[in-house]
Amino acid sequence: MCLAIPARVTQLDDGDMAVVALEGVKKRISIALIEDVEVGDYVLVHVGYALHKVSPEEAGRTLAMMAEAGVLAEELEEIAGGAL
Amino acid sequence: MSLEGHVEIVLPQDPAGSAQVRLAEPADVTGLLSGRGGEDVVKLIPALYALCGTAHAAAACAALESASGFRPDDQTRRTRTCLVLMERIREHILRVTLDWPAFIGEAPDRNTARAAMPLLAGLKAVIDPHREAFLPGAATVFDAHGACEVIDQAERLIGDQIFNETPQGWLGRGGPSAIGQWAKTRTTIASRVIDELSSGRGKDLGAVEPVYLSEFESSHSIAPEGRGSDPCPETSPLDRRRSHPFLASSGKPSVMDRHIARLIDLAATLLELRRMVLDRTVEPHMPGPVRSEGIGMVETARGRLTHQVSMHRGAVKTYRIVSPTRWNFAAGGIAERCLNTLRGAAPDDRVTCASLIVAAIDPCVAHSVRGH
Repeated sequence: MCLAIPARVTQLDDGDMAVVALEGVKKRISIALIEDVEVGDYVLVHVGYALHKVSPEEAGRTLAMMAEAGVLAEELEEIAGGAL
Repeated sequence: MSLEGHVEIVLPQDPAGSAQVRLAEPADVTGLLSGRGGEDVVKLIPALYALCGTAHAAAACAALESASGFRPDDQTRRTRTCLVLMERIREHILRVTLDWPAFIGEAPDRNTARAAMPLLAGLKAVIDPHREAFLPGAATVFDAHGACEVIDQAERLIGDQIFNETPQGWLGRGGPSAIGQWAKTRTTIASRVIDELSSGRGKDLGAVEPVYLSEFESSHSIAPEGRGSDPCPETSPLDRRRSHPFLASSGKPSVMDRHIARLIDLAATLLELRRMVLDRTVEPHMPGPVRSEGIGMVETARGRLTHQVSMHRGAVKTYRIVSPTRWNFAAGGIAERCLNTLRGAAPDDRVTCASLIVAAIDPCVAHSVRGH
């Protein structure tokens, strides 16, 4: 099942689109399914859609756990495959 | 970002050759759980697997409680069951509205998907307002009236946008002719996709004799490994709803049948959820049957999710998660067997058909297909 990595919104585009970043990797996603997204928010993204917002504190905890488990270093290459 | 793993499919040029299916699952983070107490685990799991966090939290609770010999009260089990069912409903709506339109060359139906997003949070607000349902010893507050209002919202959304009739009425249509009639006369994305699949290649594509995981109720059915040359059973909406008249009449389920199974599961799950809220004589199915200590199983939109834990002096010693994808994309699994039906097809056509098969079995998994 999917691991959910919080990504920070860095840019809002027209058409309910946004750019999110994680450790320097950027991706264009849809924010059509959630309300009131702003630059700086953390979101959980699945199959190209932001599905949930998470607080910065929660995002920080999850990212720290992922790093502790060695996920971020190993798996960012997978994400980078579909990056901007 | 999500890491859903990746499936690599290699289709041989030799018509007699077999398809190869290689599943690379996302990184294993269960090592983070070693040495932690049960309450920590139940808090960490939904954060790590937040996209289907309710199912994971429920499976974790079931595993930890069975390891410790604790059985939660009926109300807590009912609350957990309701939340798992609503998460399954939301996931089905997202797949039908966001993924299915591509089959008929249309844009995703984001309005319906957006309307589905608050359903789970709305149900939580009235049956688990303190977010304690998955904590040990939880004493939940259950507002049945409030729950019915949220279920009413879900029923209206599904009825209007997916079935164009009530989910109960649609489920009662039963066999192939009545569902075929529905597909031909209604105008929702779901009905038009089913009509397209039934009149095109989807009707027979990937049709193989099924082997269902739910038929293997022994403790040996926790994970797909070690089955030798036996076919690996599948776990899916098709497995869960195979007794429905439409599916029961399909000897070898095809891509079209798998899409109809998802719709049947959507309608049936909604009815189950309402019964779970209103009828106290209905036994909550969370946790499921205890196979052995330390195992928790939950039926998600994609199939059975299993958590397995061993404890030592109140702390986690080992932890394992077995996803539905592990079963369905295992060697000898349903994906491989369906893909082997493409032998002899034109190379370009095989790649297109392979993607349709993968999407019908597991719409979330990222995959690539190549000839060899």
